[in-house]
Amino acid sequence: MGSYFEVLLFLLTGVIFVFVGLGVASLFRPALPSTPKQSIYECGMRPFGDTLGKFRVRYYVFALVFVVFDVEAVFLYPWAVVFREIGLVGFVEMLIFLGVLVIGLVYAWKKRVLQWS
Amino acid sequence: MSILDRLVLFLPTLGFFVLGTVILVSAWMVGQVRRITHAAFFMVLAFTGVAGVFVLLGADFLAGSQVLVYVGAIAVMFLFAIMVSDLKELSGPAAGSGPGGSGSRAPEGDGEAAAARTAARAWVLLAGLVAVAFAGIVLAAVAKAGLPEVSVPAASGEPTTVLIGRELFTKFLVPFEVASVVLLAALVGAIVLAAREDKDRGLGEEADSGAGAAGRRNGGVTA
Amino acid sequence: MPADLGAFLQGVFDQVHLWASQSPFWSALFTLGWGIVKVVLVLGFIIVNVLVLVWLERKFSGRVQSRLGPMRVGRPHGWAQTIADMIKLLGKEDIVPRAADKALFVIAPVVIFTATMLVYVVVPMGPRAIVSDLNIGVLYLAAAASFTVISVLMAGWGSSSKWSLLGALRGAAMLVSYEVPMVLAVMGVVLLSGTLSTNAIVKSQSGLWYILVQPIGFLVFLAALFAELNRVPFDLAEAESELVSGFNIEYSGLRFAFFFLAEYANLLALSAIAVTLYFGGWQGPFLPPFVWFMLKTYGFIILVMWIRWTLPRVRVDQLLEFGWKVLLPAALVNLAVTGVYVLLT
Repeated sequence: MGSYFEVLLFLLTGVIFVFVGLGVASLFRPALPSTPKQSIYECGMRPFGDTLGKFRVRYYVFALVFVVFDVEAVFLYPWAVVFREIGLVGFVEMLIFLGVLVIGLVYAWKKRVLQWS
Repeated sequence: MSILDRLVLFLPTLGFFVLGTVILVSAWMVGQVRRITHAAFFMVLAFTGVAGVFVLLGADFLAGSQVLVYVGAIAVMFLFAIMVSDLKELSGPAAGSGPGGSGSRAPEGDGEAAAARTAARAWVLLAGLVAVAFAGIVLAAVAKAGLPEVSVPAASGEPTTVLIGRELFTKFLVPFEVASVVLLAALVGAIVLAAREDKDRGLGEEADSGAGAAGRRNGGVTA
Repeated sequence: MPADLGAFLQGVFDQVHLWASQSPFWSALFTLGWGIVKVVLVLGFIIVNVLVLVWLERKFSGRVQSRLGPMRVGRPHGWAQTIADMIKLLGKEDIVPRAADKALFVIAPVVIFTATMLVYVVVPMGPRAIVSDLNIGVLYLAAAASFTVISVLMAGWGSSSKWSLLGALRGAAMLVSYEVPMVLAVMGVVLLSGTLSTNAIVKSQSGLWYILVQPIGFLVFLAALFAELNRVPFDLAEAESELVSGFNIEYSGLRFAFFFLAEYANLLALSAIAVTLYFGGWQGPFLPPFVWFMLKTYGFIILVMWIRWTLPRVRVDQLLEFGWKVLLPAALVNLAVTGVYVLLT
């Protein structure tokens, strides 16, 4: 049985370590800013156009499908842990649950949603 | 018991107030910051704070799923939504103009500006009313539910995951199975959205397809 | 004698613990002090191992490509090369692009490094050598990995560079697509062990390593691991030859070093998790548990490096389709088969 105090401690250490590192290094690193140095890297060319283009909606569709399956995954954790206790009944329950989602997956597949182009 | 002991015993309460402040401030900032990406990242902070409160309550499984679903999925979905939106429209004027949206108000006439202000005030009022109504419903539901004062995991000593699993797959079986139908509905929604994108293909030039060799190759792979 | 020393330290620890548990204040102070000791030990463990791993990867890739790899700094075989690199990075100028979204640009390396630190909380290195054996161990790991996606998007967005934004978006799409198969694959292990605690999973493998009963699950896990680690063949977020350096292109000096540190710390942590889930963790005959843990972890890391330097990168379309159409169904079938297996035994 573990406690969450260590999690907090590791979280704080991660944050502090990065900032302390940067602080210590600032003592002996040069600081000579110039415009070319502070411009965006574009393989040596002068940056042109807008960074903020329009990305394809397909990215968002994948994110949506992911949300659905992520929520499904959350249900699997308690199921897997008590599986030996609930036995066959639990197996059938999860089979129905996943079956419904697999229908959706097959539908998405057939509708070519999982295709990039 | 010495004063130091009392201080230590007060720490969880203090932690709750610190987390509560983080949640409230970041939730407030979501509505206040001008850059929409910053709003999304403040939302991540608020979600994480909620997970922290769950940990303090001893509901570790809930904390884990909170982070997994809200930080790992919902927030990412929002960020993707922002990035596939027309970003120039979203962050261009906001970055340029000063606070209060004075940039967009300047070229219009005084009467129009006043009308816009009145309309904005009406929206704020409406939003406030919805918020109050929502809070009222939630609080009423919580009050009616008659939740126990002591958290369940503390009482039984078993991991919360086991307790939740046992309840979910026996007592709350029907809601669990209904959840899969709800998820299916969300999936179908995504499919419809994708179908619409396929129909609209060709209207908007996508940045990704024009980004060099990789993009060109992607275009050629229409298997 | 190391055994005597261990017993002696254990005795001292127990005495102090007993004494401290008399009052809440001293008990809390003890927890804090012991926690700090653990943090320092783990941080040291990470840094030393990352120095070794970076050197190892350079030597290994050199050998794969019929080169020698670093030879000059430190004899034999350039052992001091990474240390020299680290010192160099410490002294580099801190450049933040003028167009960057400064807040996001600064916070992104913090988030990625912290997310990696968090993984180490549940890595079991011995029967009792685990920072905190959380009840929800495996779920906790998935939750900690969520922040990696956030930090990649943060870095990509914060840099306001075309390369970084493309890399971040592709990388994030890849990470989320491979997270589902990974979780499903790990669920097979959870079914067998009946627990989410990482240490309990290791203990339940005293007779049989789970790789022997979960071969499909392991392959799915391995594929998803490469996406999670952002390594070739699934290194879309960086994609050196396409996006130059992808999501971290605008980072230089020490800020870049933190990305690099997090990357290798993550390699070590997730390899240790793979060993924990499928190769019996610290279990093994004759040698002490920690030695077994390190041997297996480094063995697994060599496997990861071998694959990385052998295969080419896949394209984003191939990658996403592979994740959803091959890995996800395979993981679902694996889960069902494992369920039947557990029911029958």
